Amino acid sequence: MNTLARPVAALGRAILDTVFHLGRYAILSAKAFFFSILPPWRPRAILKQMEFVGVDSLLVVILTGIFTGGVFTLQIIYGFRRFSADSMVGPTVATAMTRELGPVLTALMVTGRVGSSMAAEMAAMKVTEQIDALTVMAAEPVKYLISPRIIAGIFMLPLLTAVADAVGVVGGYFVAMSKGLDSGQFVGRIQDIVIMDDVFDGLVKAAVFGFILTSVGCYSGYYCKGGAEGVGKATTIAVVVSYVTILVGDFIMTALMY
Amino acid sequence: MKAPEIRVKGLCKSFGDNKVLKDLEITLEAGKVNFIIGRSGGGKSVLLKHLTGLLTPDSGEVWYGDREFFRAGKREKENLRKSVGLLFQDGALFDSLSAGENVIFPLWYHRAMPEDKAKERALSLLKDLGMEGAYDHRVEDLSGGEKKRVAIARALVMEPGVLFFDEPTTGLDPILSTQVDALILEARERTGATVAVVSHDIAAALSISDRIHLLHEGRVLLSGTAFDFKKSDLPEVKAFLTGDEPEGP
Ligand SMILES: Nc1ncnc2c1ncn2[C@@H]1O[C@H](COP(=O)(O)OP(=O)(O)OP(=O)(O)O)[C@@H](O)[C@H]1O
Ligand SMILES: [Mg+2]
Repeated sequence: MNTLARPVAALGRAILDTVFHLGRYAILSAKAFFFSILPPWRPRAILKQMEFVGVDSLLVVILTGIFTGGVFTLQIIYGFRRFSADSMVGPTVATAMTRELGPVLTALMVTGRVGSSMAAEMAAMKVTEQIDALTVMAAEPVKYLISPRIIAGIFMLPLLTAVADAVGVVGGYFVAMSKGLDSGQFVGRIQDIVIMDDVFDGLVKAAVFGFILTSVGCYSGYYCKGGAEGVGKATTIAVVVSYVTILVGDFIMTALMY
Repeated sequence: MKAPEIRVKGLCKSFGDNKVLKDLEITLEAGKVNFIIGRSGGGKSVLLKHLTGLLTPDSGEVWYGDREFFRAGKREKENLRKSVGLLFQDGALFDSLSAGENVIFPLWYHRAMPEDKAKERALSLLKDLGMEGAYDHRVEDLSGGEKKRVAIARALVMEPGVLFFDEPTTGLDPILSTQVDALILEARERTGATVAVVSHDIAAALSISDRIHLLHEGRVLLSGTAFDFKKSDLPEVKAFLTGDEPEGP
């Protein structure tokens, strides 16, 4: 092949690869969705995943929320004071947390914890033939393994985000107090300015992120190839692809929502 | 059609340039114990994976009685699979479950019987395999031979009409091997199942099989009884029975 054709061929292959993965991902997600509404339902499997995605992520999410709210307040408080806009500090922190920082940072943290571990778990099951074993027993692996994980992601991410939003505002509150704002000033106008839609839009985003991080994690593990090395690769790919998809998806959703 | 005859026609499978199965024909007689022997890497596990639909053939057919597996609908495939028990060469136990939960998994998943009954059956199977104490053990804590026995119990628990074992006695001591051979025969007696055993244990093949099939270079070189094998003049067969390198032509 001559020097000109090689990059073109590589580009073509990359495009074909991407289309292939997108198609297979879409099919897997659709299957997971249909299996989750078809009986028999397995509430216990879903609850177990909800515990893993939600309850076990709580500490990480609380820490993320507090410090994000805190540092954001630190960053804005001087500037706002220069314009005597002290009473706007609280509403600004609350808006930023509920619309943007809460959903996105929660999703990124949970991807690191949950998305990666789902990818590793699926991949290990794949390479040790456990997924084949399910198939042979006429136990549909997508229904048994993937549907509960995705459902748990969709339901738990909004709850975690709500927690992050709340503790973020609390973190901001304490920072503002320590910088000499009084509590009436911080809280006073939050209710007037932050409307329910801000919170709600953030939670919708969170549900979408929950879908992305669980489905991408499961996908990359489920189709993993090649032993222990493949397991590691599946995990890395899951995290990187989820991060990028969450950030791009966040931009698109935000542009559509306002 | 609890224990069907299984007939494979013209099965071909390649992985890249590696032609593993070349127009393979084999008939597993209904209700009989069929041993499949052959060199390591000869495609025995690949054959079992085609029989259970885990691999799709490049061409060829797999008949369970009068039904062709790969042309069957989703429902039908599921029903066929429910009547098949497969022991994977490496066990393929679920490491998120305990040994006992692995054994009852098929019963639990298909809600085949109440939980206490299922547990009773699992315990009795484990007991037959000398593993009665291991019900609550974690899979990762089991030894290789223990894992194998738990996996055997899981393959048997649904009392399927078709049983495939991929090297059930590899890695077991001679005493356990004899027990497992006995268990396979007993399962066949109890359910009348069609049994296929992939094995490197020639002594077992000669003593407990109804039929032996020698896989060689992607085809079945010889199918017959132990007697047929003992009196065969084929150099590959002789080499296999004695463990010597096959003589040159
Ligand atoms: N999924 C796969 N992808 C590529 N090649 C494969 C795959 N599965 C099996 N093979 C190849 O097919 C050939 C037959 O493998 P198989 O596992 O069936 O051997 P076997 O007869 O079971 O050997 P053993 O007695 O050692 O278990 C081997 O060369 C193997 O490398
Ligand atoms: Mg094998």
